Amino acid sequence: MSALSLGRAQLVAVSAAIAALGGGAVLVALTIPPDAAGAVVGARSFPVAVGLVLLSCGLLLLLEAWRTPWECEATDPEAPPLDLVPLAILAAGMLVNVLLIKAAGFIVASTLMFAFTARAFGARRLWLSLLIGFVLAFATYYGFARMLDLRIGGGLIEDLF
Amino acid sequence: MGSLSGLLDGFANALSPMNLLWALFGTTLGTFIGVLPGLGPALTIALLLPLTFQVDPAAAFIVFGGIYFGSQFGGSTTSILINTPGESASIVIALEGNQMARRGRGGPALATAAIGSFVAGTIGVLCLSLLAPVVVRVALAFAPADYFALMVLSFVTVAAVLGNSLLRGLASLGLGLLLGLVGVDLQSGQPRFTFGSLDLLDGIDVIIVVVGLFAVGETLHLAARHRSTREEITPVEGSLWMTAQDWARSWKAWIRGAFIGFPLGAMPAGGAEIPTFLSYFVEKKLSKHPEEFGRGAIEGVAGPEAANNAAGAGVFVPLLTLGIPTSATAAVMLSAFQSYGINPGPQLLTSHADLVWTLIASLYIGNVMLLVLNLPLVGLWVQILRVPTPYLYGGILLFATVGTYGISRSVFDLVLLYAVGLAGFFMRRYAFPTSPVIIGMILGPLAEQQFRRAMTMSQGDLSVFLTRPISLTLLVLAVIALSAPPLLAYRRHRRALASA
Repeated sequence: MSALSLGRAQLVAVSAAIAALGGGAVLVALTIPPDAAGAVVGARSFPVAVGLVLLSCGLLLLLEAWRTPWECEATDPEAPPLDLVPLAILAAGMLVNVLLIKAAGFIVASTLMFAFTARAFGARRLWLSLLIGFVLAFATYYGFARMLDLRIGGGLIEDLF
Repeated sequence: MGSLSGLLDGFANALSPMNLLWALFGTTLGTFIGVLPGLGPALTIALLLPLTFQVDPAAAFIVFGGIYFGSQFGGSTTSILINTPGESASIVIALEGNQMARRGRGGPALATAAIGSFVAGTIGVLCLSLLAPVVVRVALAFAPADYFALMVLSFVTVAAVLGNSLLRGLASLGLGLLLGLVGVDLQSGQPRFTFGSLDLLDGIDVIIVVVGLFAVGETLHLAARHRSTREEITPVEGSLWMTAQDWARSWKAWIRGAFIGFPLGAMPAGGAEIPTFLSYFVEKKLSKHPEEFGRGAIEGVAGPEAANNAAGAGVFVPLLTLGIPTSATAAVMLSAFQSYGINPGPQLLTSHADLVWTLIASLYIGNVMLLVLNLPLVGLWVQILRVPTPYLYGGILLFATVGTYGISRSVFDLVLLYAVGLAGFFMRRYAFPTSPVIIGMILGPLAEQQFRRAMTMSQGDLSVFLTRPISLTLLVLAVIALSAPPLLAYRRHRRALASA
């Protein structure tokens, strides 16, 4: 029972967030200057309409969540509870990637992110994750990225070659 | 006549050694990715979109077509061998296929899926080459108002079909439309939803959204539950070959599946879920062994797999003739066309006839290749399933970084990628479909363009959408699609109350 009401609370929150997003979009859209000279329909109409669609979807979902919460992972009593530890480790890996990719370069940053991700999925040997991550990042940088002519930029290791 | 000679030219093009290599590359990569649980063709094609800056359009679309069909087959392999279907269309295949595998009949299950894919894929592509010119002839009569009405109808049906609730589908679609609006409005030069940020002026790259939703979101979703779920690979035992009885029970299911899948896939609503489910129930109804359903009936694999593949070919009809994508993968392909400066639509078949026919011919060839590749190499594909999950998802996030940061070298894009991934995680958790986001993002700007064009032509008179017969019909259909589900639910509710 408490799992159900917890699930319902989450659905209500999600629906409210959608309605808020729609409402926000309408407000922002209304700041777009209405008409360029000569245009019959300006840059504003479509954004306002999209915002209204989201707003009404959010409100109707709110009603649904309140009355009969729909079936999903969050309301399924058999679903395992949200496992936050691996999520936190994953998030830390992404943060490291974002912070280091400019300063230390793609290979270093992504090797570390790889190790964090592997840890989140239960890998035990850190040295092995780092090794595999490094080899993969290295090969990707000089293989895949070159093939597609992507420019991932320099870095600590990239500048050595 | 024109389309036959076009198709022959297409074959001549697609059969050149270089293009055959591209097709081989695409089908192999597609199968590889499709086998990995949770990864699909939309993500793979999105990561390879930069290929469009490197090679000519024909080569790129041959690769993308190969990825498309390859990953469909790879997905069925996974559904049969581990009971965790990656995409909703494979759920039905997992239903019977996994049961067959558990009873030591994994080989015939994979074989009927592979041969059924080939048969249905061939029928589907054949229908595509016959139907496309016909649809083009109809579509040439479309005015901007009609186009806009058609897009509205697609929006509604896509939202209803992809996922299990119209309302949640529409919310996903709305999110996609909003993302598609970000950036400078090309007609007026006004920045919209950019919040003064220079990074947003050019709009949000669709690659970031696809990779964020499908790679990052999926990784987060699996990470949150990997400690409580166990995946078991059922080993393939015994012969791969189908017995005479297997053949006898499969071939009609393939044909029926193909003719259920193609028309439904070719409608501007699209989606492979409905045809696969429909085919499953048809086979269950017609089978002489209904008691076997749920315990590994071969028709239950053969029919839905065929329907899935034929629907996959059908999706190309609205994409190539009307410029309307009805699946996330088709939406990504549309953006590949745009990156070549080509706008799919009725003119495509005349202005880029060689490209279209080469693409269609390469779909035929890709089907043959897959038949040759898949069955003998099934042992190899099973090995992919044995890659340890930690390294698999580590690798996926690494490729996600390359595919997004590598285009723009912008840390902002990387942050955006992870933010979209987080949104994707919540969407999975609260059962919002993700494909409508991609479709809305790609199709939204086109719909706005048609709307403004129609309004300019009518000098601001909204009634233009109601006075043109085509547009009126399409809009009425959209209204019916919107209002039918709640009305039916209300009637059911009333009847339940009355009988209680």
